Amino acid sequence: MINKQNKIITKDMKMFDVILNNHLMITVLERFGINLGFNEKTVDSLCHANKISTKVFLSISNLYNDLECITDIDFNYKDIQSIIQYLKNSHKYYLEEKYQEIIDNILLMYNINKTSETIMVNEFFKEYTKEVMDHINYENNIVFPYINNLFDKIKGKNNKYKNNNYSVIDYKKHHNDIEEKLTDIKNLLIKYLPQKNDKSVRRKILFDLFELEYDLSIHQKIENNILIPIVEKMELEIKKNKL
Amino acid sequence: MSKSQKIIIAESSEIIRKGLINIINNTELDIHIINTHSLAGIYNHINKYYIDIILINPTLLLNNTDFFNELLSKSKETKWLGIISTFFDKEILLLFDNLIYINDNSEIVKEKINKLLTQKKTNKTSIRNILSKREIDVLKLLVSGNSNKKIADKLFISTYTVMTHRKNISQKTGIKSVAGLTIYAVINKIIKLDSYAKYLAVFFNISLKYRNKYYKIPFFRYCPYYLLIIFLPFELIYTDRNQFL
Repeated sequence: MINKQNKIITKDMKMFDVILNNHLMITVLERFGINLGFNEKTVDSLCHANKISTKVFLSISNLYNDLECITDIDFNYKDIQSIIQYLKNSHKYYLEEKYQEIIDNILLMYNINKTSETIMVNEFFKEYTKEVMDHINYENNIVFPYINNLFDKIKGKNNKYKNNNYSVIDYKKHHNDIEEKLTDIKNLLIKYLPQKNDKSVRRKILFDLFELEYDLSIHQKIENNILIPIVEKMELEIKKNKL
Repeated sequence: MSKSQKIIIAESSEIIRKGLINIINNTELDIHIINTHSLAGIYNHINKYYIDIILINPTLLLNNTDFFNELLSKSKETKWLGIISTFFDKEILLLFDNLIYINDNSEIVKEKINKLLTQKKTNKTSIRNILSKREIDVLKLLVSGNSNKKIADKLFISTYTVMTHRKNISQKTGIKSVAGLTIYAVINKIIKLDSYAKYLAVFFNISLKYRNKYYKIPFFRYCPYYLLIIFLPFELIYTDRNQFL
């Protein structure tokens, strides 16, 4: 989405430089719970102050700079809590802000251009949002509790939550791609739907869509490259120790 | 002796380019070789001379399909020979009259060039973004809710063919989901929404808007769609029509 960065973010960098380098990092900070107004503090000190694993922060923020090599490092099981927190917060951002914004703008577009095509685009996007909502709810209600349970088991705590049949393999299967419909609606709005007097609304929708698409792609990378490998490791360890 | 024939070699790798020039120079044919490393270079030469063969690395075409189409229309008799050094999509390879592979020996390369110089141009598919008649037939049936099998039965083709058509439609339009294709079909007037459907769409939309707006009030949450239309006049009175302009 942004081409200028390919700088690797390191723990001794100043957070201010990180954001100047890529402004999308503002959303990442928000999801980690780091507040703006941090003066000249470095990445490492801010992570410590907010009780986030620096490793997790670096690997996720480097994904935003199109650098995937950082994700190979080993994570502690402890880190999984901050990853899940991050993912949950981004889910909240998608549902409560981004999708709502786009839906509102599409409704605005419909109010300017009351054609049957815009109604259909509206319905199409709503249907798509519903699919995304289902997927997010599935993660929030089934996958994350399952992972938390694994974590507790390894720690030796007893947890009442039991779902013996579930495994991360099911999660992998559930990973349908929600990007397909997003590209469809982008194509429709750019290539096919004639533009009348909805210029500014259409631009806002498209900008939002592009940002959302980029954000979702990274979200998926975090799940596939960071979350799932850790969970697989946890499952293996539990099997080994017969916990 | 006929007049010398002209060949363009478009390849970004100098090693491959020089190698091909060397092979062609070693044949007994009277060939004039022009070498370039971009589509723009080809364009300049096509405008000036009649070119017999263009040897080209398909990577040059990948993001330039429109420009390539223009080149095709400018030089209808020119034959295109692909220089294949890695894996390419079948779609792209179909555009060429013949292919030479990076591990072909000089004899085979000579033979292929010779053959192209003597044979007449064959009709080949071009990259087009307009749907064919058959694809439009499939699209019409698809967006009106038919399954692959039903479409196959209605058009007297196999389901496999239907799937290929669908794949091509998605590739040309850039839209994959059926719901998206429906909108595409309406915008391009491939299908018409009859007035009844239009009325229904508006009607449902307004009803849904109600439900979303007043979701917290139990009456609206559980009220069937069709009853919500009663409130339409109120909505029209109380919304400021200028707020969106």
